[in-house]
Parts: sequence; structure tokens; C-alpha cells
Amino acid sequence: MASAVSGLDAATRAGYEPVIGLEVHVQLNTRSKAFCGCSTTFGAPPNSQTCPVCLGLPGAMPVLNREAVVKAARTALALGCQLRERSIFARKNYFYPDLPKGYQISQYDRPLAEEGGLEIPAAAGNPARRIGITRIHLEEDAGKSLHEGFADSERFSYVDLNRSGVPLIEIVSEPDLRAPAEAHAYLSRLKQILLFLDVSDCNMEEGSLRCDANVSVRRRDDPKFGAKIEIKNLNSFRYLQQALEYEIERQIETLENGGRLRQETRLYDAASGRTHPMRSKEQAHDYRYFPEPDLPPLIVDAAWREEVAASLPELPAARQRRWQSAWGLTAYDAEVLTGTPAQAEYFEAAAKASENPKVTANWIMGELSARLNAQGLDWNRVPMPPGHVAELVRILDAGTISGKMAKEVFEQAWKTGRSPRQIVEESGARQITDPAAIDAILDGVLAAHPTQVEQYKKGKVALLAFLVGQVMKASRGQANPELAQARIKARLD
Amino acid sequence: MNISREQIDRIAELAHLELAPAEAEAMRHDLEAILSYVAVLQQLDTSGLEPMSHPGGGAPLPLPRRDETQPGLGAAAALAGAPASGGQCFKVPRVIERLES
Ligand SMILES: [Zn+2]
Repeated sequence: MASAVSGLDAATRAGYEPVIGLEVHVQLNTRSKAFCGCSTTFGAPPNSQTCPVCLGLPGAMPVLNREAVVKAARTALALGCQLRERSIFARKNYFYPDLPKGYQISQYDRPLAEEGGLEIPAAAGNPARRIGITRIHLEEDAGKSLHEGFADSERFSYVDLNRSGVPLIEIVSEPDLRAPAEAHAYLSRLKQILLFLDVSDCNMEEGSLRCDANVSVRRRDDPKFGAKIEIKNLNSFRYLQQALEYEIERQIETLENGGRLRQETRLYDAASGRTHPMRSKEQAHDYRYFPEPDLPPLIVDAAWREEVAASLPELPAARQRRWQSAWGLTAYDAEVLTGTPAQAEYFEAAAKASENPKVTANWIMGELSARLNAQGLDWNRVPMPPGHVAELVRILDAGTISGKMAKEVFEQAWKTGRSPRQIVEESGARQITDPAAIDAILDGVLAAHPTQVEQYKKGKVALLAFLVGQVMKASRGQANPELAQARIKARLD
Repeated sequence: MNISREQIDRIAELAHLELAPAEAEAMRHDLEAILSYVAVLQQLDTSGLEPMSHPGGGAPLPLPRRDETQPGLGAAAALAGAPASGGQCFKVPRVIERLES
């Protein structure tokens, strides 16, 4: 998809610096909604999970879900934020059909948490960098408007309020990002942390993770930020990057042509790869925030805060460091293996049982990942238990089977679900480590290849590999290759 | 406390209200009176006092509830009061752009 407005030359583009901040909305994976007991299960029939509170019926009173606070606070602590002991809910007033009360319960001047940060990895010549997090606050989701798919969709919109009142946190970054790729890296890292914290399923297709971006450009020599443009609808990693690339180019081109930019809200249209302004009337918003009188201040005292802090799991960055220092994994391997919490748990279990983390990592990232990908399985549903991978690594380390045989045993274990040890024992597919047995095979090989034997004796040492290969072939892969090589040298050198 | 006609128009727009000129003038008059009264209260020195965001007074604050689901109304009852519905949804005049996420 073309993201460029037109061909800006590289030198012109390099004269400007993009300034990007992200606002990320995260649906918390609580069982019930933020302020009522309705279920949050995704995909239920429309309006089947509603009650007077989330329908905004007169007189209904909200009661805060404790678990939503715990998940928000856990996120805040993991991102190094200051937790406010006394935070206040506020009404954010606007009219839209999927907001039945006419206001969203949110937090405004006293959010739950402030002043955190997140490290994004080094990329494209830039070192790893900390991106500031301005604030994290708790709020409720709106319902869902359906604009397509009905016979009279030309004239009507349809509203499903199942999502109304589902707990959200909004995580607002500082304008610290300087490139679309950095925005992508920030969102990936944030998603990974949220998954490890088990606060959200972060499913972008189902809308559990949503992203808006604020973007401006400034001349490299200008300390002032340019006019801030907000882009909405960035509901995939790809759209985020494409929309930012388009928008940065558009802003630079406007300025280069002598135009001016004004603060506005634009929508990203994935079909055209462009952003377009929202109609100006709908931008005339003024949310008239005021404290929510139906909810008391939220008090997270020291005891509660300590309880949340104690429940924090080991985060991906900490696991990566531990695996590198204690187990000798490479940074790359550690990064790959912390892709999801389930994958990290799988590796951790297998590595501990095998007592050989590096080789275990290779099997998991190689043979196992390839099979999961081929069958479209994720790490939550691995048919092979981690103990089987560990067993295979132990058998291999003990020299019972060769690497080549191990691949076949793995294949058998994957297909049948049986344990590698069982497979090896039953097939008798043990590695041949008895020198006498190797010699017996070698007799046949040497007799069958007199020319190569002669050439080897005359100094063509490269033929050693050929002869080892012939022993392996004759033993159907069961000979220990190191031993075969040693026996050939002993006999011919 | 002076309220201009422009301010009234803006507030009416935010509240999605269409006011006839006479209504707007009456509203302007009422709002001026209300805000003048509040201006008197504003003269009180409240420095050092925690702003009251909730009428709970000194009573112990109610604790958040446990994360347990309860049956709701059901879609039929939820939609019973709606002026229009279809496909088990509330039905409204078509809206296109969305401001909030
Ligand atoms: Zn409800």
C-alpha cells in the first residue's frame, strides 16, 4: 500500500523531525464490567449482557469492580508509575448513540497513576531508549455502533451495548517517539508486558487493544513542537505504522508548500492508506469534565498497593536478563522465547527439566515452532508437553542417540504423543557407541569403496567426511559419528 | 456575572439543544442569576480544604465489589423502552464518524 503523498526527496524529509505520542486503550480482562455485574464475554448476542447501570437507565448506581483496580494498578506499577493513593472518577460528557448515559465515567485531573516509562529496544542504529508514560487512568468502554450489514444501513445505525461499561485503562505516552518504527516498537513492548501481567488479552481484532496517535513534525533546528494532529482508528500494528508514515509525509509536504497545519483530529482509512480530517462540527468537543458524584474517591492505600506489588509476575525484560546471565542464552533467543507468556512458561519448564537450556531453546525455536506455525497452533495449545522436549534433550546429551536420530524421534513424538524415551526404547533406535560394532560396519564400507580409501591414504583428507557418511548410511543413522570418524582414522592413518 | 449570547449558543450546541431566540434570552438571564449566586459563594476562603467530589461526608467509603457476574436484564427487556430496535440492537438515525474510542 502506498503511504507517500508524493515523492518527497530524502534530504527534505531529513530536515524534519517527527514527534509522536500514543494513547492506548486496553480492555481489562475482568469477568464482570467496571461498574456492574454484567458479563464481559466477547461475542455474545447483542444487548444480552446489559443491565440498568450499563444501559444508563435513570437511578441506576455504579459500584466499582475491585479487580479492575487491581489490574490497572498492576499495570501502573509494572510501568514504573506513581500510584495515586486517592484518585477521583470524573464524567466526560459527549453525545453519541453508543454512550447511553451521555457521559463516560473516566478519570481526569486525578488519575490513578502518573509518571512512568517503558524501554524500547535498540533499533536502526538508535540505542535502547526509555519512552515516558504521562498517565494511566481507569475508565469504562462505550457500546458498539454497527454501521453496515443491515438492509437499511443507508439510513440507520445499530447499537449493541454489551461492551458498554467494560473496564478500560488508557495509557498515555509522552511525545517521546521519533519515528513510526519506534511507535511500533513501543506498542509491541507494551502489549508484551500487558500479556505477561495478565490484565488483557490484547486482541486487536476484537478491540481489546486500541491505539490513537498524536503526531507533529518540526524542523530539526526548531525547539518548538508543530501543530498536533490526532489520528484515530489505528487498530493494527500495520495500520499504526502506515498511518504515521503517511501523516508525517503529508505534514512535511504541506509545510514545504508554504501551507500551515492546524490542530485537528483525523481518521485513518486503511483502504486508501490515507488519513482524512473529521468533519469540523464533530471536532468542536468540550467534554466539560466534572467529578462523578455517584462514585466515592478511589483509595489505594499502602497495604493494597503492597498486595498488588507482591502479585507482579517476572516481566519479560527481567526474564530475558536472567536467561542470558544464568543460562547463557543470546539476547535474540531470549527475546524470541518471551514472545508470549505461554511460550516463556513452556521454555522455562522444558529448560529446567532438561538442564540444558541452550539446546532446549534451539529445539523449541526450531522444530517445535515450525510445527506450531505449520498447524496454526499457539503456545497455549502445544500438543507436546515441555517434559517431552526435555527428555529428548537429555537422551541426546547422554549420547544415546545422534542428532539426526533425535529429529526422527521428535517427529514420532509429535505425531504420536508418546514420550521420546519410550520411542527410543521400543524402536531400538539407540546410537551405536560400541567400537567393535562400528568396526564391523566399517569393514563393509572400506571394502565397498577401495578407490576412496586409496585416495584418502594418499592425503586427500577431505574424503574422511565421505567415509563417515557411508558409515552413517550403512548404520541407518545409528552410528555415533564422532566414534565412526575416530575408528576410520585409527584404521587408515 | 455576564453571559453572552455566544456562550449560550455554544452551551446549547454542546447539549444538543435547539433554542428559539426568546428561549436563549431566558436561558441567558437564568444562567446569569445562577452564576452570580455561585460567585458569592466563591468568595468564601476554602484554601486548605479538600474539594468534595462525593457527598459521602465523613462516613466510611464503600468498598469496591468483587469481580463476580450477575445476570442482566436480557436483551428483550433492555430493548423494551427503545423507540426503535432491530436485529436485537437499538436502532438510531445513521451516524458515520466516531469521536471516541
Ligand atoms: Zn450492566
